[in-house]
Amino acid sequence: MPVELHERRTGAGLFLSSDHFPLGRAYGHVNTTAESATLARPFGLTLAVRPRRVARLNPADLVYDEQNQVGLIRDGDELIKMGRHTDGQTNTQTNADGQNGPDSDTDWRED
Amino acid sequence: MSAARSVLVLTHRFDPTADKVVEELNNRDVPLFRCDASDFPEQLSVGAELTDGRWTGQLRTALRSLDLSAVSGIYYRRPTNFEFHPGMSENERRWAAIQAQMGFGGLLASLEPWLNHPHQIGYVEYKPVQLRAAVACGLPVPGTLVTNNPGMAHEFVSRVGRAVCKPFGGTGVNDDDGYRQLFSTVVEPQQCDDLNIARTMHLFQEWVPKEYEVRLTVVDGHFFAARIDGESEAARVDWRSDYNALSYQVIKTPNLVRSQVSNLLNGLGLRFAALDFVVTPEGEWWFLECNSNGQWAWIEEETGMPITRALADALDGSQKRDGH
Repeated sequence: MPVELHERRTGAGLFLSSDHFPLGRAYGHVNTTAESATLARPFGLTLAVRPRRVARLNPADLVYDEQNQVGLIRDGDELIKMGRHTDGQTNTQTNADGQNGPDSDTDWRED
Repeated sequence: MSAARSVLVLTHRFDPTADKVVEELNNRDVPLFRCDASDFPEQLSVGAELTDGRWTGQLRTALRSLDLSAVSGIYYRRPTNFEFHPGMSENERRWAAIQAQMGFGGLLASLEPWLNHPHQIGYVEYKPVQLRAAVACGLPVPGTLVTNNPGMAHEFVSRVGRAVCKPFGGTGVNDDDGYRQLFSTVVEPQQCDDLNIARTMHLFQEWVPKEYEVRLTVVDGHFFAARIDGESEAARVDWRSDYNALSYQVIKTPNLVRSQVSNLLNGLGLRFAALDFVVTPEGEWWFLECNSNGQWAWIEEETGMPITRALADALDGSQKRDGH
């Protein structure tokens, strides 16, 4: 199966400002820089909690199949189709340990 | 369906939800052109001429092309932003971005048929818009207050007895200790004395007695309803907060709700939507929200409802649409 690694600029999220195509709204854009809560934190944000389940993908494991126009993900020595590997929720971390929060593509189910 | 007509899929490259539709269309041998706005302009060339009142021309990548006059459907999923030549200055990049937005974006906006048109997606994402539209269609909607006034919030929550605070949209924030997200959260009147309610808009909604919740996915008049039961306290308040504690069951959409939702989607110009309802112990469906570009792959995985097939039908032109 002909595949091609889709390269992005380094230092940026895997999906640069995902869904920022200006025909619609900007989906799920989250700044990757962690900050401390301030005294002026909006009330609603004080109610925010850590999500209980986050499926993390490693960008290095992702390959784009140009022929079939689908994403592939490395599973051991195999490349399998992303659509069969996940249930559609993706939260791809650019940092290996995932401690700094999701990058710009946090494709939450509830949207 | 004309064999020459193609489906245009606009999304980023690692979107497993879109992949399901792409695979289905590939299996049907439907001509397909998938691209992302980030492909423009360095990897995607565009040329279109206004001929006989319509735009004719092509989108072209190194591997394939799309005839703009032979499109059976355009699927708007999760496109990212334009990527310009790295040699451009910031000012040049900004100027180019405006031209790209108005030119490339404008060209695409003028095409049809979309599923859904991104302008309609953006419009419906405004919760005040969709809540008002739902009421107009006869759907029961919980009492709702939008405000940055702590006094009004306190009064509202005291009056309705039990209420939740929920986000208008978007995602969460990255704090020093990790990522946080606001789900629907029960609030007490005294919490609404917080002066930081004034820092931005907040949405408070009356709590509706809940037997279970429903995620209703609609594609061109096909209804896919799944009952969602939360097994944890968090999931019972907002099922999004605890996916591990959920169970699903395919159910039938009541005829009245079908009619009301059909009117709602027609009025909002949507062919696809993922709607959330609370169902009371008396069996009444209360509208919570309408996600105009909502996720659906997980609910198909959990229930087996053929949403992918319905989307492919809608995009490849094999299904006759009415009224959109």
